[in-house]
Amino acid sequence: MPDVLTFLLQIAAIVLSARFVGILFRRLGQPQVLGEMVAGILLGPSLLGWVSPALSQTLFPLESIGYLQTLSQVGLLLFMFLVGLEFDPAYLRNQGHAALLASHASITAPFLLGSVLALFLYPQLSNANVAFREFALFVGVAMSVTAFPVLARILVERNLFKTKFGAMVIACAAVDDITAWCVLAYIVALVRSSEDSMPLYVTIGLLTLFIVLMVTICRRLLRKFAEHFERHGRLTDESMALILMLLLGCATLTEYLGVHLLFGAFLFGAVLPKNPLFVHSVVERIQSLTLVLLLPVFFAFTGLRTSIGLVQGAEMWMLCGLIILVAVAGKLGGSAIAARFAGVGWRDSIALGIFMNTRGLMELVVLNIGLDLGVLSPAVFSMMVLMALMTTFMTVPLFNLVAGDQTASEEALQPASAEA
Amino acid sequence: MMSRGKSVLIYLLLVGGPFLGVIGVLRLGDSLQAPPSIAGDWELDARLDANANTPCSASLGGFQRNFFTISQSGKFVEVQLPNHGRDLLRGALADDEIRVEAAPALFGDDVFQLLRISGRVSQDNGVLTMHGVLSMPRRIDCVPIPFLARRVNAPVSRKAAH
Repeated sequence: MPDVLTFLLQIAAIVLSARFVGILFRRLGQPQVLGEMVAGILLGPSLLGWVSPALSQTLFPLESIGYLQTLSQVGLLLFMFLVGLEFDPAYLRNQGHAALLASHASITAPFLLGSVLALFLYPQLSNANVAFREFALFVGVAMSVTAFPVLARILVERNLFKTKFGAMVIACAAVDDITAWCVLAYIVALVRSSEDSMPLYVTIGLLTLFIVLMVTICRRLLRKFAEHFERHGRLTDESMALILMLLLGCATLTEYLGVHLLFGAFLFGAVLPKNPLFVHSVVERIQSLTLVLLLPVFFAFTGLRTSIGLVQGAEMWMLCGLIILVAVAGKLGGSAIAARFAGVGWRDSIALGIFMNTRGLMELVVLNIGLDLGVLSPAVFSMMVLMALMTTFMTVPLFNLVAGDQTASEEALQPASAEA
Repeated sequence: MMSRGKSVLIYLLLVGGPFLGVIGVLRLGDSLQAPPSIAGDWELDARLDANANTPCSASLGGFQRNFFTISQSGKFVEVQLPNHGRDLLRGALADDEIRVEAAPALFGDDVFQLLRISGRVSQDNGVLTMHGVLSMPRRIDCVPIPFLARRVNAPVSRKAAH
């Protein structure tokens, strides 16, 4: 076990670097979370371990990584709960077939391209212990992810959140998130069924039952939280404790079912009442500590596992470039073409594609699961982390390029309510 | 406004088409072969004292604990030594032949950077073994050391149920 001083130093270094690089990125017009992700990478073997292996070893000794992992899992659990909590089915109302088509196509198109890419990657970057099916499905889902929270933050910063265009983007991303997490849950269950005693059909059956119970009976019961909140005019500590206990219970249950604890956390957040004041109160209690302390720990943990040095030589860099190219073509191209087919103008279709191509930290979550399960090799993991950074990085400049002086077309800038 | 029939047709084309494509790709990929798995912890059996009292022994410092760890990304492999600096040797696996060399560090040790492992991997009574040579090819005064290594800790196979 690492001594407490080392652990405190690690946390201090992580928070400090995350804030510093995050603010730097914000000043450069990039989402702050991207800077925090980059800070995590810089603390790992890609920079600190390369420049000063001795300092890296002293600050992050091997035996301390498990503790960082546990802390980062707690952070992710809370973060996924917040993502679920802030997911409001109302996003999907008043959205026509354009949003539905674009969101579904923005999953299936990159998924297909990702699985085709897996045909090239598997013989070179995987090994005989991993079945092609699992590898291809994981590459597919990694290509399909959209970072709903990052995307929402960019829309708010650009004053687009409450416009027709913003509503369509949010609706697409929300559908995308739900679908991608369901697909991921299935893939994780599929992969784990090869080592667990629980057969896949039992896992899927129990998971389906759990989801149905959560969105029907539990959802109704959970309304009591909102009623209690309205009665007292605030979120009591008892309510908060109960919410946290139920969150941990759901996460434990989905982990036990062989899916992943994050799925339970997300689902529990999604079925909680959507009373804006109630949601705001819960978010306020959890968000600050999660975003400032725990998520940077996750980024650092991811950074410690990411070795850009693994991507060496022309062949590896070409494969890395191919991954980024396929990711952009599938996500940006797939969403844009689908939106265009659904009658959205070219400029707004491309802008939608650009936003859907933002992968952010949701991608890191998926990649870490893939690496933990042994489906993604360390080099594929590192290449995909680079892809996540690149696709998030390109969102703002590409959007500026497409939108020009305006943020979107005039029609798209109308308030979302105008469509209803 | 698009007709309902046209909407359904576009949905099938843009969503159903790729879905069927994924199924096809999964079937196509089932016949693909990936490199054998050699990742894990390996126990080393070698006469490391063959270069005792020579500058070459410094290069072999990382092997004094008689084991190393292989991290694998398909045909690309990394050998990590259990010394304080967790020194890395990088290289590739071609069929059953492995060849790795010390990865140059930014402020690395020149002597260490000459270290190379080359060997052949095989299954021996269900245990993965590696016969090979530890060498320092840029130093003619260092004697190449033959070794036998056995994998003692392997990652879980994910193909068992498929």
